Amino acid sequence: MGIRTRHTGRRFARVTALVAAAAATGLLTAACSGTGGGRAEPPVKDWAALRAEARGQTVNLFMYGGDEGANSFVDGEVAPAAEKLGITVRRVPVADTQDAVQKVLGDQRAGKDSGGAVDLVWVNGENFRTGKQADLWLCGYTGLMPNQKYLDRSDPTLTHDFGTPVDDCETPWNRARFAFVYDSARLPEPPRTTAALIEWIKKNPGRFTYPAPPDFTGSAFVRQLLAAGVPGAGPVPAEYGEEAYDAVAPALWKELNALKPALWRQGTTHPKDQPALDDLFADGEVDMTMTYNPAGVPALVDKGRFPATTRVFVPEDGSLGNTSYLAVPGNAAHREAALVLSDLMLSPELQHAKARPGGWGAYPVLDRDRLPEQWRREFASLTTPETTLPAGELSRNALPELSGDWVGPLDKGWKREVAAAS
Amino acid sequence: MTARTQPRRRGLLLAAPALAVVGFAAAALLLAARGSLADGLGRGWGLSAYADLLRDPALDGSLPLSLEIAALSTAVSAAAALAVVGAVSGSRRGRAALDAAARATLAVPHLLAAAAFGLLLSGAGLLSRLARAAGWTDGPADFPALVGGPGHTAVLLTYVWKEAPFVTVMLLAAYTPAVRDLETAARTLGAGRLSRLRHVTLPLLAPALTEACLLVFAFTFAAYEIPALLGATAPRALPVEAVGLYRSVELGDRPGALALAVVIGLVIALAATAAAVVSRRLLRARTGL
Repeated sequence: MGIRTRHTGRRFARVTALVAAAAATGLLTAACSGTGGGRAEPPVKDWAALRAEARGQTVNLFMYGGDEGANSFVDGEVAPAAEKLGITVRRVPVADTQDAVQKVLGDQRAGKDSGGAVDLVWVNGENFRTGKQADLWLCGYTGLMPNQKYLDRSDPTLTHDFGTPVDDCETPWNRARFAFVYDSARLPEPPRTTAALIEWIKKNPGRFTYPAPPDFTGSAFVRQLLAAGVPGAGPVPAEYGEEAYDAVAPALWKELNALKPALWRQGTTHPKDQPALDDLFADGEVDMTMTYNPAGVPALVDKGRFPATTRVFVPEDGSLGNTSYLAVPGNAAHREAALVLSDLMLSPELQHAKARPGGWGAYPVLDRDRLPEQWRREFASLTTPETTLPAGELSRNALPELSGDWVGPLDKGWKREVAAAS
Repeated sequence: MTARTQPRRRGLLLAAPALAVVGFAAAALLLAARGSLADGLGRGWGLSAYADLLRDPALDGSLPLSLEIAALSTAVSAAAALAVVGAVSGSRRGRAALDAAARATLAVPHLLAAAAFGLLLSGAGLLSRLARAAGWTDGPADFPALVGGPGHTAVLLTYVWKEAPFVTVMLLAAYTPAVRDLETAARTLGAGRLSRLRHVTLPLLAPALTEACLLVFAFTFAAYEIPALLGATAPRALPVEAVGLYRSVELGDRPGALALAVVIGLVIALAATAAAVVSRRLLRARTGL
């Protein structure tokens, strides 16, 4: 909860700096301040009218394309459900969510205030923050959404996205938890705590590595070590600042550099992203991979990419958890349909279909206590394949994500202090 | 009058596609230069991106690495192409086969070549598996780190495999019957293989070789996909560094990324100027003007 109060000042300073740099255009002045009211205002105030307008539109949904469970869920469940409302969903896969944000930024720089190519983005914290700084998102509509009533609005992971206030500028869609993946046939007793994991890495040289930040998963691994408590670092202040960084980062780099000789290829190089690490795990070059989306593991096992004995663990002392969202760019060409679609994707029907084993299996964001009796029972009867974590595990010992302000400096610090150090 | 303007207009028309390409490249470079002097949102003016670049230790590693990759790839490709062309130049059938092979390799996209070399040379790749089957290694960890290793071996091998055929095609085109006649004349006058190469073949092929080398150098210096797929985590080639920085979650990193793009453009411009000077000298030396 401390994140919210202490964080505002810093964000405000950043926005102010940007506004100053943006000279007298005055476009950024009301950058999504609380109730919206930025230049990107919702098209109408009435959800029924919005639905009528959305009919016949095609939504260009930009999302990370490397998760096949997510892809087939959108194609197989979301698209047909949207079709019933007269909305066509066109899924646009991107290698990194950042690419979608860059596209919107490019449109904005070209002065394209409407008719933008990106209608809806599956967004994560640091990209949401970047877009918010540039005033990219449409704000002030979530109060209109019929399905918002199933959300626990006091949940800090729904009011803040990586420490950035959501401010009515995005719709929650998915929960995730940082976890490690191993083959129980090769490693019957995986380390159960972060400290045990580090000890295991040192005792088994060459059998572990992590993707190089700024890859999303690699960056999360570095934050995971920090959040789980690096010896000598102390607790991580929620608000980023140079002092806070200097207080914790040196110990983190020391620890990571101490790990280096025990890593795959002696830490002289790293896989460039999570799929590359998954390849190393699948080929038996390393004994573990990691993911911020444990729900994706059963699909990889089913396809035969990972062995059937694959299992997932989260350190008992906690691992990072977050909520990912759907955001509509202010200049979206089909913003009405994008808004209706993001509400639809929040509905109990689609959240349940998303969580169903055999499908994507991803974790819902809805608060069970607020659901109608029938849906409460449906969600309670969900089972989880043994190759991944049950939804109940998700919130146990979950550590809140660090503020988005930490991500950039930590990624750069890693490059300077760990990758470039020999 | 019409007799003179007509060919000129035709010449301009013929040059239009090339001029359009050059125009696009120049416009892109100008846009990059503008962006490098602005803030993260492309507004305002300032030199801070360049100042940051001078302070960034990443540039210390990336610029020399990219120069090294480009220089080595160019030198090895040129040597390999010269050797092969020299070896088969005597036989017409050999030339035809070489030409066909070189053109076939040229048709393979760089991305595909990078993926193929990755599958061939990585720790769990084909060669590593063969080495293990032959009993030379116990597993992927024993196989040398060609992909992603500190020596950038896989990057260099892929570039040589792609660029040597390009230089070969350029050299074959310059290897006209006139060149062969002069070689034959030199041989009848008693010149040995080496002195023929030194005094006849090399000087006559030099302009084509210089141009091919310039193109290879400029391409390998500025290309992204091969070092991105097969290179090590640190240091990274300059274009990989620039793209990474441009895609950073920090908007403030964009001017720095564009400044790197400008640096890449400047290095290529320098190389092009040097090559132009050298090639003019060569032409003068040959024609004696």
